Amino acid sequence: MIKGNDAISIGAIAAGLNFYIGYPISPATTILLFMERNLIGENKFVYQVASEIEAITGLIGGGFAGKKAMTATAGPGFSLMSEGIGLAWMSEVPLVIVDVQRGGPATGLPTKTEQSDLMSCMFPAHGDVKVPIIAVGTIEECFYGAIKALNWAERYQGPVILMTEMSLAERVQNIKKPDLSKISVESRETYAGNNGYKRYAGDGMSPMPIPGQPGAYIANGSEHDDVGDTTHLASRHIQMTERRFNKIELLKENEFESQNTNSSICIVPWGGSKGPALEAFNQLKESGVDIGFYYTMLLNPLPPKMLEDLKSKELVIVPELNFQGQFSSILRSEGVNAVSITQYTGLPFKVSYLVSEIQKLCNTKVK
Amino acid sequence: MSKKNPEYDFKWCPGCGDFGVRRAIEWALIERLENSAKPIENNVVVAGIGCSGNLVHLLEGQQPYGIHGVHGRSLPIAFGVKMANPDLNVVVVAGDGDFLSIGGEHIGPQAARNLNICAVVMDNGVYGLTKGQSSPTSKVGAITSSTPFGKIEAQADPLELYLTHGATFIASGFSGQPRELAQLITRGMNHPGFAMVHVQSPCTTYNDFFTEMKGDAKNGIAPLIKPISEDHDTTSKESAYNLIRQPGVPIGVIYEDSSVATLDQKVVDIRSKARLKGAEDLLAEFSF
Repeated sequence: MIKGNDAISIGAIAAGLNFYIGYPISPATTILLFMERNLIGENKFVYQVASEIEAITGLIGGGFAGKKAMTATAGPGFSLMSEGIGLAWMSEVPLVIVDVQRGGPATGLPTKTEQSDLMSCMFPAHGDVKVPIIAVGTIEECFYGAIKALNWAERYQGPVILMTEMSLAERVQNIKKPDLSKISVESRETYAGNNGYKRYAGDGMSPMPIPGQPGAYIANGSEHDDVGDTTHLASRHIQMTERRFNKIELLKENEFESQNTNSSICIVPWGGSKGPALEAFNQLKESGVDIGFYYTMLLNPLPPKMLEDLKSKELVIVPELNFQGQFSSILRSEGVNAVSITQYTGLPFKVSYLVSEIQKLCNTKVK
Repeated sequence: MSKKNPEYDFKWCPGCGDFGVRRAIEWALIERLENSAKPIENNVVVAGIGCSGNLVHLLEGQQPYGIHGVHGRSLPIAFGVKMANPDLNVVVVAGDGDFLSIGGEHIGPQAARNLNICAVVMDNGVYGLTKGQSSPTSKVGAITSSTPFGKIEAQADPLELYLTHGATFIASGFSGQPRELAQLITRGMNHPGFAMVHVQSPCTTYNDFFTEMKGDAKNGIAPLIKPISEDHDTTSKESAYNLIRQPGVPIGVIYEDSSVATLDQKVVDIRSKARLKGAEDLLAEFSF
């Protein structure tokens, strides 16, 4: 029996987390409390800082100095982190931000659930930024998603956002005990040469020097040249922009679930709507409706094979807890014919509602 | 790296006070290299945004690590670096706008933690890089590009602010005296705790108070800077307040308390109170 936020905490520690700082905010606080009790020991650091701005910029200092660094927050705190996330992207510092979604903008609905931060998480900062996202949908995925988030941050050397939601954060559930011997843990490629290193040379990920070891450079939030000095040359901005996006290629993995893939209509939930959507799918299938199901927690970059499949579908139905239909909008921008079933009550979907809404969409398509 | 790097196109104006601060930091780093067994890569300079922050790119000689982050956040970035690896010597370089205005909220928490870093603040009383707007240390009534009818809010008193927040080392320096300033920065780096070195660093383009600081005997202008007398008690907060409240700019060490444990020491102390656990231990606390 474990709740989502505890599963995330242990997953992160299993992945080698050794630096956690955060600020209390519902429904993310329990991750901070877990870390304050347990992330103690040599070379480990946990601290409650004075704001989310301190959290994200402190995290950048920790990640820069070689730590596997993470924080957890919710909407209002995430908004405050915007500029810092841009700095982590720009200066290529590995770190993980857990966004435990709650409802609404501003203070919104602090104790209700929603899936309305997807656009904010994918495009959290000004300028050309598109941050890798893992969105968990079950308590088990909280554990494994946290491991993957830390691995991704280390692998591509930049910020990764782990999305979860109120309905998972405090849900206590019986899951199969994770087998720690079967998880794979990644660490960043570090630089092991002499001083005089060009840390930002080339078009993709390059070994990262760690302070205390040779290879000094300047981690710069201004556009920079290969040693990290500020520059305004067009050729550098082109090279560095492409370099930052090229690194995302390292994260493309074909990890997704699918059923009845021959059907031309399929249901594609994300995050915590996975459970009700899967149940609705099973009921529809049993009643003879020809429909498929796809799911992944890797929202950016999407698994290439899954995206290719979805592009060939006549209709992709995305149940999601927001007004705008954020994930279907992203899928449409990728060339998928996607529509959303939306709900913005602060509560999770009811299976019966999804069954009837999916049925309606299928009937419209058949006519 | 400016001398060797034609791509880097930033320049300080001729006569900028920040040249003197840069030289002082270089000398303090050299002294540190000579007196400690630690190589240059053991030093990290965390810079704010503005003319002052560009110091991290303009350092000559052996190159330390650097972070040139976002506006106002040099202190929390330095907090992250130091707590990730307390063995590093972490130096913040920032200006009065960056440190006292947008970044002002970070001074109190780091002082309360006694974070073991040295922050060098270059105070030119104006926003220089954005061309001459009013800053917290601009004088009341100052005509600047953003206060065309005179500044109407009170002038901040940084030294009193640091003292009130509980910084455990406070020094005041002048960019026109780089040798003396280097000694203050060295003492700040060596201080076990949160060290503030506040430097009067005039802006020759938008707020040139060099003569005001240095004085001009020929024209009967008395210097504002005053070396702190040797009998000043640096261990007394009361003496420090009295010194700061006198007219003029005191130069030297104002306050020093080495008896407070640093944040990294306190974090180590906590380990003896907790049972140390790994992921397997943590999983064992739940039933599956």
